[in-house]
Amino acid sequence: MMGGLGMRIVMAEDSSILRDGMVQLLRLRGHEVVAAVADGEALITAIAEHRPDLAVVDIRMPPTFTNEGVLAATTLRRTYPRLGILLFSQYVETTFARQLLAMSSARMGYLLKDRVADLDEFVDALERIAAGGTALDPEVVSQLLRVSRHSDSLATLTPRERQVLEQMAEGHSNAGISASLRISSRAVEKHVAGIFTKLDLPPSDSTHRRVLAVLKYLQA
Amino acid sequence: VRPGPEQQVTAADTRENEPVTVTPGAGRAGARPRPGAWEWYVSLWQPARFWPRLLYPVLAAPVAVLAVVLIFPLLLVSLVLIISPLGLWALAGVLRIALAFGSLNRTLGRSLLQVQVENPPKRTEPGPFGWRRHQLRGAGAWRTLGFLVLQLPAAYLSLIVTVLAWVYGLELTSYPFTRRWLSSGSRDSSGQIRHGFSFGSYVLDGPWTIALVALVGIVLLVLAPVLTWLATGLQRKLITGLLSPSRQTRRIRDLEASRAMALEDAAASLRQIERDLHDGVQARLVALTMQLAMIKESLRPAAPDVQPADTAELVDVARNQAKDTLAELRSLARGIHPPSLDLGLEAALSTLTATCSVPVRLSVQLSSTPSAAVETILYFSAAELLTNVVRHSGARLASIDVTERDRRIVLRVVDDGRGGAQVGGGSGLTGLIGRAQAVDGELDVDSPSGGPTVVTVTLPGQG
Repeated sequence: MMGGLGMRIVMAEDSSILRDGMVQLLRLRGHEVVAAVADGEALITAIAEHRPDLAVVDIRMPPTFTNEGVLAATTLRRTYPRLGILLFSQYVETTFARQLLAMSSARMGYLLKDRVADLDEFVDALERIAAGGTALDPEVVSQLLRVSRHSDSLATLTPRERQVLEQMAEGHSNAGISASLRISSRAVEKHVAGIFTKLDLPPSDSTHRRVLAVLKYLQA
Repeated sequence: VRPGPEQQVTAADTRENEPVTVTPGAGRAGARPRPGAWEWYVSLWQPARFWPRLLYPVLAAPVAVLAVVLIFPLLLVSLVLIISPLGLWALAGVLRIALAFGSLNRTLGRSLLQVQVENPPKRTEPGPFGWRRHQLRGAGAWRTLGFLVLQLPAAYLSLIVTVLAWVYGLELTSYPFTRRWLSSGSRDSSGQIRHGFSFGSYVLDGPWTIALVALVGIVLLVLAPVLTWLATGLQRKLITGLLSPSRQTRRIRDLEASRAMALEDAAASLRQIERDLHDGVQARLVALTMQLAMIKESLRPAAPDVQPADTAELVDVARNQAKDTLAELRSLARGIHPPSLDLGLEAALSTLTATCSVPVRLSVQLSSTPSAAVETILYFSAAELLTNVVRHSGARLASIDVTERDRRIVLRVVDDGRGGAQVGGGSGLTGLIGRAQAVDGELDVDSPSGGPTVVTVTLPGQG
């Protein structure tokens, strides 16, 4: 199914306040949380039982409160390639972002928990992931941009092109970029072409392959 | 098997050797009844003690000779060589041999005499020059040389005493049977050679004198293990005195340990604060964000059948969330540094005791203000100990005393509860020990079953 309304979601989050809040929010937007668990092992069991469209996974969970979510996501990705996975946490760790994207950037997202403040964008990100795309937190993207070893050629980008690159890396389509930057879609296309040329990336249509290309470039 | 007096001696030695160690229940250990002289004497005959102690003088003496014969000529040569570039290396090599003898003597003392002695510090500096420096200065080689010199007469003294005690003991005890091989040189009236010890023309061969000699032999045998043990006393003192790390070395090691503990403690508190912020305040703020998002959602014109009352309820939830967050942040901040401590330790402790559900008598008698670190540790120790009193002791009355003794600050928390408090077992005492050790202090628990419980925290004072 292509995202849209009525996704079935399994949530793993050890804080009950956040778990309950999130369940309520998603229900308000017409999505069904079929199971809400508190650790990685329970998550894997719940996924096997419910076969949802999407897993929303906290990164720090019991028992060690470090990277349980990432580990669970790694296992899930291997077993259920068509499952959408959103990792969310209170911090952004570039290391985790790299690990996740090294697996695949399709049906994968990494967002700060703060992003629920804008429900429209948050739900949009969830739907994008379930539809096969990517959702990366702007914070992750800017960290990746900052530490990129290609900062020389990044410097040749115009400020506008840089903005467009960041939006692309977050997983937005041309239409999305044109809406959020308030520029025409023709202008977006022009900038995208400029970026691909300057960064020596092969042009591509599909949204998530664009992200993949951009991130590969940033991490290389 | 009851511990003999000699074990108490060594236990006291260890305590003296380690001034910084925490000794929970040390008060009670000191009150352990001393075994009587008879029990001690009987223990001397137990094979596991008897044979090693007899063996020690026999082994120690040749080792002592070998050490002196081998090392001192070499030492002389290396001291002559000292003017050449090779000199220091030769000296270090000789000292290394001396240290090996020291180590051998430690092993003998430990395994045969149950002397409790620590090993010298391990080499920390790498490379050949680090090795040389370690032999010359770090490992206590000069004290070991002193030991080897003094050990020679001491070892011979104990060997002679041991051999004489046993040989004469056995000889005299068996005198009634063995005297027949002793010829006195004089003859009796019937012309037979008289057998036995003789002094001039006087021969010990009358029935009573023979019995007396045998009796002396028996007494000597009875006393032989005591004599053997006493004879090795000097060697035991030499081993604990000269073959253990020097006071300075131990002090450095203790300070290194307490510094490591302080760093660990600081890192652990930071980690705990981060964890508290992450799980508490941050999570609550994220939840608040969610609730605000929900409120906004309910205010959308398209929101399906949402009543103003529903929105008001959501706002209430959000407001309570904000209040809870503030309360949690406040308590977290207080946990990092109690604001009342800015008014002084006494003020902070009286605020603490005033809110305690068990009545607490507080007395603070300090001539000067302790350092901020010490004050903070005193405060948190008192808080934690009071929490224990309230939670576990069932006490009706408690008291907190802060006094100065020998330039150290002593916090004593006493309660009349059921006692039985132990380090470990989630009592929070382990954490307090760590905090006290971090500033070179100690914590002592005396809590017999049935009470009362006395916990003493001793921290360094000013200067």
